[in-house]
Amino acid sequence: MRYVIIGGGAAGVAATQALRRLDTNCQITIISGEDRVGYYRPLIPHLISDKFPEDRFNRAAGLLADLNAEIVNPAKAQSVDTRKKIVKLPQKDIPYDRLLLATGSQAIVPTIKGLKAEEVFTLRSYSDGIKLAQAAKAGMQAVIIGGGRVGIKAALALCEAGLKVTVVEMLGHILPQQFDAAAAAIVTPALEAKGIQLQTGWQVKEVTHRGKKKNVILDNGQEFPCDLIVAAVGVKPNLELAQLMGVGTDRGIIVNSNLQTSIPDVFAAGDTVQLIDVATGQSFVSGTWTNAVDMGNCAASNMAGVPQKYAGSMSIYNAVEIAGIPTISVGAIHGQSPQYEVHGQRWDNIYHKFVFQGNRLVGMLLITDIEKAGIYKTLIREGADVSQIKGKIISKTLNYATFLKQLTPETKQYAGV
Amino acid sequence: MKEIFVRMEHCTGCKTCELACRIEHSQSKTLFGAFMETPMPRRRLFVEMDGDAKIPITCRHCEDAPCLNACISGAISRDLKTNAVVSNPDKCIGCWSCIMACPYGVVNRSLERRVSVKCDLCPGRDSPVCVDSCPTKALVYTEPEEFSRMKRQAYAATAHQAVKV
Repeated sequence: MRYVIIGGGAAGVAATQALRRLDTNCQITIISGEDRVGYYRPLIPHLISDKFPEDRFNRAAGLLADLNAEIVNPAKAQSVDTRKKIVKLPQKDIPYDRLLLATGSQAIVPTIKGLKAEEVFTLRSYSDGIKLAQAAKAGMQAVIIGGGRVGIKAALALCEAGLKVTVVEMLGHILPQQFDAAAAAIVTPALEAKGIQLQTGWQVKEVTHRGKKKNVILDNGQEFPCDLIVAAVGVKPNLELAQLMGVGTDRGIIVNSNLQTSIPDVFAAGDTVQLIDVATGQSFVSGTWTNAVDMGNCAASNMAGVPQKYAGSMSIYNAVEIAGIPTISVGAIHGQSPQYEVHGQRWDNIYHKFVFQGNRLVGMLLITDIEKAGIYKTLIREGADVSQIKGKIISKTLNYATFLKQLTPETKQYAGV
Repeated sequence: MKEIFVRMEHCTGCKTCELACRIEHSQSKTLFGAFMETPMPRRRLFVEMDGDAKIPITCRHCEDAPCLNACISGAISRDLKTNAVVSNPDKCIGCWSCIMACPYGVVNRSLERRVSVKCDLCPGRDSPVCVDSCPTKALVYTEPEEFSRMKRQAYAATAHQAVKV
């Protein structure tokens, strides 16, 4: 059996590992457009701050070699003949029995008057990270456009490297998707205490230049002279190949519950896939490492002939520590529509927010106290009926014993209790 | 492969296992020493209470470990000798994705080191210290088939009492 995987990121490598576990004799080929395959993308900001050595980025030494996978990189598939089942590269053709599209996503470069594409830094790939690490010098001023996950991580990394950082976020507070205003209000002072300036509620109107210095002008007229501009305004899935192939796409590749696309023997996993958010019922295109790994594992299982339904995920599914404050955000955390029942508690730096819809827990936002978050996340992901344990959830006193002690009369006798 | 099994009905909630776990994962390896240390050694199993029930919740070292899949830095991996899922504090960046992932709530945090802390099946020992220290033998370290056999024999020994002729 010949498996070909287009993309060497989280989903592609997870799929390779899973395929090798399920089928020791198969042929696996990974085609990647990057010059570095199988690294930990979320660690990229550490290239700027902690200067992590190379081996921390790479997967366990020799992983890909141990998996006996052929790696073709850097290479871009021009097209795929889905009838003859051949992936066409400039240098050669690669036939497949089952194909996995794991082409990931790319950073969006915003269109702003005066902003030149070549002067903007993004933080998506390893080479992006190296480029920014080399350009960023202590004492420089940096403006980061976008106060989401990447923007804030970039801000902390550049601040650590000795730069003076300003983050411009167009919505009312930082991490507008993962946090509500109360959560942001806890984290914001910690960021400001590090000297990071946050400009929320304003957009960048224009960028002008004065010699080597750039001037970022907001739509309220404020000007921020700087040496570096980083764009962290989101990512978009790489869908060109899928669309060229005729695979069904919407905002992402459309898949069934076995992660199969509309074309036989073609599967998809990772940032390119459009999923249904189990907490809200809305479709979304995922962008997290964890989801990509889960999808890679699941797609591989299906490709290898062991059917497995994808357990589903949430569009908000993030854990990150910001300036010493742990945060975990899962599911429908805003809870602003009338169908939601919201329970929030805040004292000092601790914030617990649980959002219910009918009998289900659909959202959880935890700041500082993140203990046992996984138990609540599992209830959200499984859409479990939590009416019996609602009080324990609201007081965040749930633990696994609650599930184990539900003994039936039969098991009670057997257990001798 | 051996696993830690829990005989819930034997647990008195004394938490000796938690204490032993902390001492084993300390520098000083003594009771008083462990609690004076920085960083404070953290427990990796939890005797949870719910009403009258006292149930030790241990890491299952899952075959398809959610914590391993969620780890964004490669800190969590599988020890091929013991099959244990272990977290390497030198690679951990303290993002807490593993805490978000674990359905049992058994991943702990070292507040001082800002790294995750989880059961490692005590690699330096023949059997985990929690199992060895339990005064009622509520924790058992053995193969699944052996544990199953133990349960069957225990039940068979009492079954004749339930039969009324």
